[in-house]
Amino acid sequence: MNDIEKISKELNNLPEGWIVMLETSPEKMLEVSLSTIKFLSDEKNYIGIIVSASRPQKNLIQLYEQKNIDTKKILVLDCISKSQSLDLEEASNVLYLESVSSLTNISLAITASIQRIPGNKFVFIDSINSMLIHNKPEVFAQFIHGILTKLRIVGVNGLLISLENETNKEIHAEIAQLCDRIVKI
Amino acid sequence: MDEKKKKQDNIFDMAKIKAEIENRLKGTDETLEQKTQQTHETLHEAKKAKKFVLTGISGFDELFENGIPKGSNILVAGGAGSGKTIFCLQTLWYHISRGEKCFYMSFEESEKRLLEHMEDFGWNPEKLLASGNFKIKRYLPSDIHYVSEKGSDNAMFAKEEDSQLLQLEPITLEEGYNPDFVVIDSLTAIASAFMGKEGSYRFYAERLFRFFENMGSTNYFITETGQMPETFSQTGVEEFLADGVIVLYNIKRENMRERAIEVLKMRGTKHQERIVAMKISEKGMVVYPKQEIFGEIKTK
Repeated sequence: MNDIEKISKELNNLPEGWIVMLETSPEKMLEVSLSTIKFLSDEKNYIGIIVSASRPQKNLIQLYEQKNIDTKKILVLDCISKSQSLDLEEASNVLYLESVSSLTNISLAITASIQRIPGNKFVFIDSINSMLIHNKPEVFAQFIHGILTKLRIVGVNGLLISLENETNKEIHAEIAQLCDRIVKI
Repeated sequence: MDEKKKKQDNIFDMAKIKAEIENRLKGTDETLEQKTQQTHETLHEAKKAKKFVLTGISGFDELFENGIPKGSNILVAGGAGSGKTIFCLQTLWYHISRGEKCFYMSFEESEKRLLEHMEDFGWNPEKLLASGNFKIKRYLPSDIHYVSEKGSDNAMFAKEEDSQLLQLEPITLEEGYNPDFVVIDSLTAIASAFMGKEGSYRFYAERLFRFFENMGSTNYFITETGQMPETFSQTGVEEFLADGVIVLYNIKRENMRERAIEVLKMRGTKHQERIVAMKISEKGMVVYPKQEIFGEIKTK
């Protein structure tokens, strides 16, 4: 069974409103992210709300297109480009947020997105480790607890990705207790 | 393509949704604005009868069970750039637009600057002034009528000292003018006129609070604090004199600043006891009553 088969099996076995954390190595992280988004978008027909703390929108969309992911079904909450003073390319599927440390704004954007986007959807936090570079662990724990609780209440699927053995232990435990599954790839 | 997928593709317009989300984040969401407006129109009549007032600030009034009790003296506290003046001007704009008399007493910024702030948010200050319901006046420390409870020893202005001074009100307002809402901007500026005479300032502040209480208007007293205040006024005594304390925050975290607001105290009504997110948009202040703030905010 390859990686995406393992992930899809896990996700297919969970009832709607699942929250799953993928743990992987730095080498596999990008491929795991792309394959999972493609599976959720193509096979499950979900709309993806991607909270990107790792890559700017421009790069992300290119990667999605190379992977034949339908970018019309993706909304990127880009937490990188604005803070790095990159060119903010106007696109219908991107919202530029101030920075990775602007947690309140990220939370507001996620809330507004899940309220406005119709149908089945998932929120993908990419990645725990990138967000922890820019935020104090205890503050981030408060944020992620709030987001995951919100997703749980409204029944929206949540996907998080983190580097195996590289995440602050307390944060890992905090997130793990809120997830239905931890999938190690 | 199966039927479910076809249906989802047809109803989905990401550009439109993105615009709606952006407007929501900027506080310029028309749906939100209309909803707030409708809620306020409905609540306004109900509150009026029950002697409560609203601020008209999107999301802020939802922090209260009933609104602000009419006739309250309220401290509006916060650090530099936290939005105190905007909060007050926006409240006045809401009330003037509803035919109420509002008065802005500035001991700091000029009338011109304050009107420019209002213009920036599209509140049409000229029209408000022309309606006769809005007055804005800059005061000088010499407009403060002060006499100490002990007599002339601590009197601030020696030339004005005489027994009749005790009969004077702490501040001069136009005779017969009874505004519904007053902003005093700021207690910090007034306190600066009492440099080295803290006891005298306390006595004056008490008289000032009583003066406005007797007038029956609802009053905002602006106070300048640090960004993470432990006390919310110059001497701390104002917090006890006031019926309510509203605190505005401009919090620095990592390399960012985030805005927040809190109702610390409000006598006579139930209110949410938490610090929530706030933004200043091109149309004014927007409060997100359900959005908590992440990070360290230490208050007493």
